Amino acid sequence: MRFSVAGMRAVRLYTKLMLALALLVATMVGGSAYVMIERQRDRQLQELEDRATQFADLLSASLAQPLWNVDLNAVNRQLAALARDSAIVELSVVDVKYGPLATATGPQAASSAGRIVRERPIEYAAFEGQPIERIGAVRVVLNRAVADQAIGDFRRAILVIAAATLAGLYAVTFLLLKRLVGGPVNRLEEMVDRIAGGDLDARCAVESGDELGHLATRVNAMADRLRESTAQLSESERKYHGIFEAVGVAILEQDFSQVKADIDRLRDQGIGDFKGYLTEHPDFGRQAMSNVRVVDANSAAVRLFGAKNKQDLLASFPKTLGPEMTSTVAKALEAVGALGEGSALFEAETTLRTLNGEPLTALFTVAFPPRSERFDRVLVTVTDITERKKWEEDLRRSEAYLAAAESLSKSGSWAWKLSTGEITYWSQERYRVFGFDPEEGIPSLEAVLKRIHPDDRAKWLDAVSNVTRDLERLDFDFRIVLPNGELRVLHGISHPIFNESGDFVEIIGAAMDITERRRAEEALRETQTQLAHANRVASIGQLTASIAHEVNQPIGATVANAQAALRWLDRPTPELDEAKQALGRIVRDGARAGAVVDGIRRLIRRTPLRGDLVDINAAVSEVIVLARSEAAKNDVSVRMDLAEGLPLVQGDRVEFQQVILNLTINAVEAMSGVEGERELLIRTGKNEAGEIVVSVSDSGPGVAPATIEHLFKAFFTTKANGLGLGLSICRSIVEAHGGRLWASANAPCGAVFQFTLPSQLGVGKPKAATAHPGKVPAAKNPGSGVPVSR
Amino acid sequence: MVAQFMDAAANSLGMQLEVIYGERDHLLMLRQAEEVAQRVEAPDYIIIVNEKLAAEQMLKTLARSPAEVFLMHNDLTIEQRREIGNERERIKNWIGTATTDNRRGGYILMEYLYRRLGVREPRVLGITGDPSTPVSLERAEGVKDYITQAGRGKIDQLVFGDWTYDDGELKAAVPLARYPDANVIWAGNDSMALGALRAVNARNAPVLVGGMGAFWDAIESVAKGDLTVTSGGHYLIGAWAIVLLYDYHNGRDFAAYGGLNQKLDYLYVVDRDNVTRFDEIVLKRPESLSFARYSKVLHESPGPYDFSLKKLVDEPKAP
Repeated sequence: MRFSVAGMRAVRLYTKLMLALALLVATMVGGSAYVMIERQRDRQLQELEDRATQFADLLSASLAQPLWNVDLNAVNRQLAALARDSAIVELSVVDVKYGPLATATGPQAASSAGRIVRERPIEYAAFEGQPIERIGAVRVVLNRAVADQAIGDFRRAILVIAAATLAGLYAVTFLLLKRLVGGPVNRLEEMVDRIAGGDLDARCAVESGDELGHLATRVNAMADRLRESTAQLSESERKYHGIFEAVGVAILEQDFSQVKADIDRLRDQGIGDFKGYLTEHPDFGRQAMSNVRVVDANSAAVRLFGAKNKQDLLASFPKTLGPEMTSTVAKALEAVGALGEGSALFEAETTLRTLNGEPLTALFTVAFPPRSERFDRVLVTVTDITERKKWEEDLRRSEAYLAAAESLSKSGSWAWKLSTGEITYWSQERYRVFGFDPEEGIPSLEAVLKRIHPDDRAKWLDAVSNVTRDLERLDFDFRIVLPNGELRVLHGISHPIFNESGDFVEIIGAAMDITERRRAEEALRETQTQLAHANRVASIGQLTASIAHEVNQPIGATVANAQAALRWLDRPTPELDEAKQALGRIVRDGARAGAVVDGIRRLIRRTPLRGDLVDINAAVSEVIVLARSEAAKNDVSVRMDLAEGLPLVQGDRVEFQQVILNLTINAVEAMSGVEGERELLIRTGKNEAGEIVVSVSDSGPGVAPATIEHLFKAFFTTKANGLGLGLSICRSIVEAHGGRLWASANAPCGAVFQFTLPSQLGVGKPKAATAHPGKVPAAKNPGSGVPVSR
Repeated sequence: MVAQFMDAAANSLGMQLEVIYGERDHLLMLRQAEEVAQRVEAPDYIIIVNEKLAAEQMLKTLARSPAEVFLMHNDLTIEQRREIGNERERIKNWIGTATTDNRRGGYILMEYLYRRLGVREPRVLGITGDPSTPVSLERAEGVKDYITQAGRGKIDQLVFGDWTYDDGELKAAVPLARYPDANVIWAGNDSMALGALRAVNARNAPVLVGGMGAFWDAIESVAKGDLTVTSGGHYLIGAWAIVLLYDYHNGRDFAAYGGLNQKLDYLYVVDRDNVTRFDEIVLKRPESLSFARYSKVLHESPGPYDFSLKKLVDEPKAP
C-alpha cells in the first residue's frame, strides 16, 4: 500500500482509524493464521505418518490369521475397508513364500513424490507352542497430498475465517465508529462550519461525556467567546469609526500594496541599501508616491486639506504632496524596506499643501503593518503642527528663560510623580548644584542622599517623607557635600500639585544654592553681634554713674557695717549678736555688689549666641537691678508687673536683657525732661496667641505717629547724642528669636514699647521640644539660619 | 441332480413326487411351506431341507398340515432342536431326518489317497469349505480321523475356502509355497479340488489331489487322469429319503432301522479305475438305477439301511 502523507491528511479521522485497525487486525490475524497453518501442517503430516504406522500395525496384526488361512476374502475385505481412507494410495499384502497376494488401491493416485510407506511383517504361530513365524508382510502407502490438501483446506478455512473476522470486525467497528465518532464529528463539523460561517448562535449538541462531548463543550465555549469577541469587535469598529470621524486628527487610509510589491521585488533582487537605491533612482520614489492611493479619509482630513468633501479629497490628494514630500516619501520607503516581522510606526514632519495651495506644516505618521500583511489599508495621520511648532518655539524660549533664571538664582528644580513614585524631572541647574552629570540621568535617591551632609541626612529624609506622605509644603535648609569636599547650603522648597478635580498628581520643588547668601548673612550677623555688643557697652557706659552708685551703695554700707561691727566687737563686752548682724549685712551687700558687677560683666562680655531656655521674669529682674539707680537718679519710679507662671522662652538671655535694658534706658531718658510724675512700668504676660509679651511703658512725651516706624531704622534717632542704632538692633534681636518689636502710644501719655517672643511649653524647666530639631523655631528663623543643635 | 435321482427313485417305487424349488431363498421357501400347508388335498409326505436354517420355521408352519414331514440333507442345528424338539416330539408330523455321513466321506477320501501314496510319508494340505458350515468341518474331521487312525503322515495346514474353483486354486497355491514338501491335497468339494489341481499343475509338483462330490467336471477330470480322486454321490440323498418314506408308508418304519435321524453312509470313491463305470451307471442313466433293491419292504434285511453304491457300481448290473 502506498499513501502519500498529504493524501493521508485529507482522509477522514475514522477512515484513518479504520485503516489502522484493519492493518493491525490483518497483521495479527495473518500472523496467527500463518502460525496456525504451519502448526497444522506439522500436525497433519505427523498425523499422516501416525496413520500410516497405525494402519501398518493394525494390518500386521489383523491379517495374520487370514493370511495364514489364505483367507483372501478376509484379507481383501480388511484392505478394502482401510483403503477407503482418503490418504491411501495402496495397501498390499505379500506372502513370504508365495509373493504378492492382495492389493487394494485407495482414492489417491500413486505419485512418486510425497509418499509415506510403511511395511510391517505378518507373523503367526500356527499351533500353540510353535514358534511365531513370519508368514508375510503388509505394505501401506499413503499419499502426502492428502495432508497437503488438508492443509490447503485448513488454510482456506483459516483465511475465510480471518477474512470473515476481519470483515465483521471492520463492519462492526466501521458502524460503531461512524455512529460514535463519524456522526458526532460530522455534526460538530457542521456546527463549526455554521459558526465559522458567521452563525454565532449555532451551538453543538453535547451528546456524550467523552472527548467528543468535551470538544463540543469547548466549541460552544469558543463560539461564546467568538460571539463576545465579535460583539466587542463590532463595538470596537463602531468606536473606531466614531473616533475615525470624530477625532480632530486627520486620518487617511492609504493603499501601499503596489509600493510594497515594488519594494519586495527590489528586496528579492538582493537590493538591501534602499537609501542608496532611492538616491540613484529618484524616479522610483516619485513613481511610488503616485502609486499610493487614498482609500478613505475622515472629516478632519477633509477639513484640514480644505476639500469640499471626502470624494474631493480622495480625487485630489496628489495635489497636497508638494516637492518637499519627496524626501519624506524616500524615508517612508526606507522604513517599508526595513520592515521586519513587527509593525512599525513611521513619523516625519513635512510640508504639505491644502487643496487651496496653502502650505501646511504637518506631522505625517504612518502605521505600517508587519511585512507579512497586505498594505492595502495603511493608517496615515496628518496632524497640523503649525500651531504646535509655534508653541514649541515658545516653550523652548520659556525653558531657556527658566534655565537662565535657575542659573542666575542657582536654583535647581525637580518633579516627583505620585503614580509611579519616581522623580520625573531634574533641571540642568539642579544637576549642576548637586554636582551630577546630566548625561547619566536622574540620580538615584541613594546617590542624592550621599551628597547630603551626614548631619542633615535624617532631617532631609524626614522632610522628603513628610512631603511625599503628608503632602506638606516643604521649606527648609540643608547642606550638601560635593565630591571635591565643597560644602553648599541649599534651601529646599516644594509643594504638591493637584489636578482640576483636586487629586494629588505630583510634587514639584526646587533647591536654591544659598551658600553665598548664608555667608553674607553670617557676616551681617557677626556685624550685628558686634554692633549689639558695642551697643551694650555703650549702654553700660551710659549707666556708669548709676552703676557706680549702685556698687558704691553696698560698698558704703559694707564699710559702715564693718565699722559698726568693729565697734560692737571693741566693746568690753563685745556685742556679738550685733556684730553678727552687721557682718550678715556686709555679706548681703557684698553679694549685691557682686551681682551687679556680674550682670555688667555678662552684658559686656562677648559670648557666642546661645539657645537656652530663659525665664523672662528673671531676666527682667536682673536688668532692672542695673537700671534702678539710673531711674532713681532721674526721679523715675520703676514698677514691675510680672505675670506668674510664664512659659520659658528660647534664646540668648544676654540679648533679651540687652533689649530690655535698651528699652528701659530709652524710657528713662524720654521722661527726663517731663514735668510731673515719671513712671516706668515693666510688664510681662502672655497674649492670645500664647506668645510671651514684654512691654516697657513710660509717661514721657510719647512718639509722633509719623516717626514710629522710623524709630526702628538704623541711624534714626530723636536724641541729640544718639547713634540711632539701639532700636534697630533690638528689633533685629527680637525678630531673630521669632518675635516682633513695635511701639505704640501709651495712655494717657507716653509710649509703650513691647515685644513678643514665642513661648515654649512648660514652665521653668527644659522642654522636650529640643528633641525635635526639625520643629524648632530656629528652623523658621530666616534671619539666623542657625541649626537648632547649636 | 437331487430331484433327478428322487424322481428316479419315486418312479421305481411307484410313488408320486412333486418338486418345489426354493431357489435357496428362505423367504420363498417359507411362503411355499405356507402354501403347501393350506392345500386342501395335502400330500402324504413333505420332504424339506434346512437350507438357510429355514427348516425350523417350515416345520412349525407345516405342523398344521395333515401331511407328514421329512427333513433331509441338512440336519437341524443343536440350537434349533433345542427350540422345537426332536422328531415326533412336539411337532408330531415331523417323522424323521436323513443326512449324509460327511465325516465318512472325508475318511474314505484320505484312506484312498494314502493308499495311492504308497510308502511316501504323507504331507497333507487340506482345503475345506466355510468354517461355519457343519458339512465342511465334518469332512475335515473325517480326514483327520483317518490320518490319526493311520498313525503316520502329517497335516501341514488346513485352510478354509469358499467352495469355488478360484479359491481352491489360491488356497492350494499359497500353502504349496509355504510347504514345498506337501504331497497330498484334499478339498471339501470338487470345484476347489479342481482349482487346487490347477495350482499343483502350475507348480508342477508331485501332489495327489482329491475332491469331494463326484460331479460331472470332477468325474471328467478323474477320467482324464488329472484329478486323483473324488469321493461323492451326495445327490442321492433325496432318493434315499424316498426309499425311507416308501418303507414307512408301507409299514416298515425306518425308526426301527437306524432311528428317526439317520446319518447315511453311502458316499463312493471315484478313481481312475472305476470312473467310467460310475459315469455310465450312475450319472448317465439315473432312471435305470434300481432303488427298489434298497427297500426293506421289498427286500427284507435286518439292521440299519445300507445305501452303499457298491451294489450298483461294482457288481454287474442285474438283468
